[in-house]
Amino acid sequence: MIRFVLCFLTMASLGLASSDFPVFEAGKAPPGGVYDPLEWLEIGKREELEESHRRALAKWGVRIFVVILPEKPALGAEVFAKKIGRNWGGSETWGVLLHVVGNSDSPWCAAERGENLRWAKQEEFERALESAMSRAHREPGQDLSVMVGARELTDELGFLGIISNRRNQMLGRAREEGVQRVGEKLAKQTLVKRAWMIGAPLALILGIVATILLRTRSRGRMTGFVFPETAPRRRFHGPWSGGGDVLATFSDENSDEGSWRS
Amino acid sequence: MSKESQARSRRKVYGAQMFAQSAMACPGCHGILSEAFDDCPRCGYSGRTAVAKFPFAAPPIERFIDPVGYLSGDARQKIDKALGLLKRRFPQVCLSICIIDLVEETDPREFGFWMFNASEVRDEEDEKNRPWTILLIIDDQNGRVSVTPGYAIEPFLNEESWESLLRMERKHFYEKDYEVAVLRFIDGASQILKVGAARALHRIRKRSSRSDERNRKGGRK
Repeated sequence: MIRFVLCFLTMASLGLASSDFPVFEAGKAPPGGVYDPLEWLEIGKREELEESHRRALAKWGVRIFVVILPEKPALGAEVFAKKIGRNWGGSETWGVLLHVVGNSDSPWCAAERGENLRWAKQEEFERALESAMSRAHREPGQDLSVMVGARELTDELGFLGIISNRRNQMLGRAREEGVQRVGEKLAKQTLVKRAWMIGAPLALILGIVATILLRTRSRGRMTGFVFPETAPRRRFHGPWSGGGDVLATFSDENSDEGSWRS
Repeated sequence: MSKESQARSRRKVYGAQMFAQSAMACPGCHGILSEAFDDCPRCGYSGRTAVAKFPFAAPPIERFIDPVGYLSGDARQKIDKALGLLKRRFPQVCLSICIIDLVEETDPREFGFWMFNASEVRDEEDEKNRPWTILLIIDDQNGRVSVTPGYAIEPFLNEESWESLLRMERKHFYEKDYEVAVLRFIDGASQILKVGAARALHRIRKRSSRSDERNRKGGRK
């Protein structure tokens, strides 16, 4: 009976392992971001990776996970890595490096842009992953491939984060400038409007005043000047005039004899 | 009493001496008079002398007195327009242009005096206008021009200004271009009247400010 139970437990554990490891799929992420149940990685290298993951999280907000499996998942390495990433990293920026011990195609990777890399372009993101993996595959040993792949993935995602951040800042600045420009434009329009609101009635009033003044003046001119009445200095029995003493003679065009008074 | 005459009676009448810019002269001997005499104290000249000298009916004082027709219809139209403008500026003032051929012995000044007074007054309008009339006499025959003002406008005019004006327009009078000469004369007359009007206004203001001052001083006492 005991043998049967032990046999069942062994079979069950093997069954779990071959059914794409639902245990860690649903569970919490490993503390240092390294899942290595086989303890395939040397302790020093594991610590190194864990330290690098902590730094990436602190510096760039990127979560990196390294998963070491004894065999390739039935779902396919990349799909499986993506699944794990979503479970552990959620909607944040994350990257998963999946290594199957003894598999020459290893490692694989999957990543999510998340909020941090919102402004990174999709092509840049894909190129970054490819570049990390190509560098990892170039390494001669499997453990080196994992170490280099994890480091490169961290760096690439971090770098993209910086670029994205810069873009974000630039966009923010541009937005601010745009807002400022729009504000200035609005202020200018308001100023023009105000100037119009004040200037137009003022000009109208001035125009009216000027028109009134001009009309008054022209009316004054039209009415003309009225001389005061005087008591006539009647003389020589003349009822209307006492004569004048102005006489000019024009015997020739230029002579100064033109005018004389006796 | 009509409204107009009531208004006239209310209007202040000043002494002509207050505004007078030129001395009075005898039309016969042209001597300067210190005051208005019925007969010239120097030569005994009076209206009667003038009537005796010109024993015929004087023509009516109209805008144009031009029996020979020195001014064409076109020229009269232009002069009419200029006189209309002058009338608008100085509504009381009338200008009469007389172009006539006088004998050499006849002085245009004396002729003007005679014509002004001997000419019959046709209606009320004429009676109202006559003292404000300025009569320009052009003696075409002898190349002489004279200016005779009525009693009402006389104190506001400066004879020297008329002489300057005539001297300035000498060329046109000499050439007998009477259209241009008269038009330019009207232009100049407008300036002379303007100066006269400004002076009159100044005198009235000065006088009223003086009387105000006097009243104030009287009030204090």
